[in-house]
Amino acid sequence: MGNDSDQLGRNLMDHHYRVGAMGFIDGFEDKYYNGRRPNGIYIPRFRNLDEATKREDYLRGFGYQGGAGRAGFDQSAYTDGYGAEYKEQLMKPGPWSMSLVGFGEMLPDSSNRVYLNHDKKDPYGMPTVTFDCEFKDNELAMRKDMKTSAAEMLEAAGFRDVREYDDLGAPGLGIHEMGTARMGHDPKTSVLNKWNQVHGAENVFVTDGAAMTSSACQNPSLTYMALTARAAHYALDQVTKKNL
Amino acid sequence: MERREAMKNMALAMGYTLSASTLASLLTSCGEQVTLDWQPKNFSKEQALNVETLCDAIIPKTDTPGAKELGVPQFLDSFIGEVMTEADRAAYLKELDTFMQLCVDSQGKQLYACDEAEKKAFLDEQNAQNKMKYPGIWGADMVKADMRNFFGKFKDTLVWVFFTTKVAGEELLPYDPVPGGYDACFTITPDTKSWSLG
Repeated sequence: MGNDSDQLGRNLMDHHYRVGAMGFIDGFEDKYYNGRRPNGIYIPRFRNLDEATKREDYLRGFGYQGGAGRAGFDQSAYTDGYGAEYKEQLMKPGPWSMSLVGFGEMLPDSSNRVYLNHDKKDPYGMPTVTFDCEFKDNELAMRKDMKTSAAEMLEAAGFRDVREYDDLGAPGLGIHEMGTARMGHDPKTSVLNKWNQVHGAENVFVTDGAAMTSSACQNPSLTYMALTARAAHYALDQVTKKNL
Repeated sequence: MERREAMKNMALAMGYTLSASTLASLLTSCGEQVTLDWQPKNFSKEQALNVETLCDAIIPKTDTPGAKELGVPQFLDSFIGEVMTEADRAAYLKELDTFMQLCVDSQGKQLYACDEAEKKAFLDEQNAQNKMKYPGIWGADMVKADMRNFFGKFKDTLVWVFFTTKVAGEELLPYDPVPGGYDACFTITPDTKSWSLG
């Protein structure tokens, strides 16, 4: 019941990230800061928004998060040498650097799924959970652009020694899990209706990230909260009206 | 970042997590003023002598204490015993042995037995072979770990341990664990030190 669509557990998604570029910038050697800056920078999505920004190599897009700062003793990893001079250098404010990291949309794919594995039982005889999920071609193609565009921006802004990085990892590292009970009008192709109720089991509301039909590229928590507030409001309204 | 946090991050960077009790015993073991004659628990005598020599060469005593004075070799001895798994410890010690042998091959003797010129010749050679590691963000690695040589990896660990000792972290560098407000830009002098907790 509630899974006539066979979509429950399918289209598991996360954001793909850990890709971008960093660079150093000269100047401001006599400037420093104190305290904990509570935020960084954000560059909203700029690909595949219209004809002018259309890409042939992948669908959808990504945003950048990042920040700049002056290294402390953690400059050790890229400071050459050892000895007294090295030690003194580590105790001085290090070079300014800036890092950009892309957060990209992962497309839904029905083969990316989570399911109960009845063939593999835990010590109590209960089925275990299998996560069968990987980044696909669209994500991998997007990452090339995420990497080179970040480097281009830093270079255009005057950074030196710009370095690209791409450290794919696996879905789950982004801790923005989404999908597995997608929302839709048609019970044949979706699990939840527009009020986050399970099709065919309307007294069950699912209000986390499971409703998402794709992952977009924004941090999803505020969207989950908005969807949850909306679903809760609806549920209360329906209970009051004795429809639930 | 608190010292405790910094130490945890150092451990995380090496791929380990620290339990509260392990952390407590490690915190006790480091930062004490020590003499040359200590009993290693996990290093062999020869390994310990080389580790101590390496610590002293990378962060020597200047007008401020060096890594040896602040008990970094003893900390590393505890760290590999109490934090690393047996398999990882074996792998680490094997890497250390390989590194020690490189010095024997190059200078004809163990690092700790080298005079200043021999030490410099060997460490300069090791330093030149090391790949720099640049800061990524949020856990992304810019350089694969195996592209750094033992000298480079040892340097990373040593620096983290040294600057998170009580003396280096609170006295050698300006220590302001609860800064309150955020001052985005002020002018510094050539004597200004970097923050202990960046």
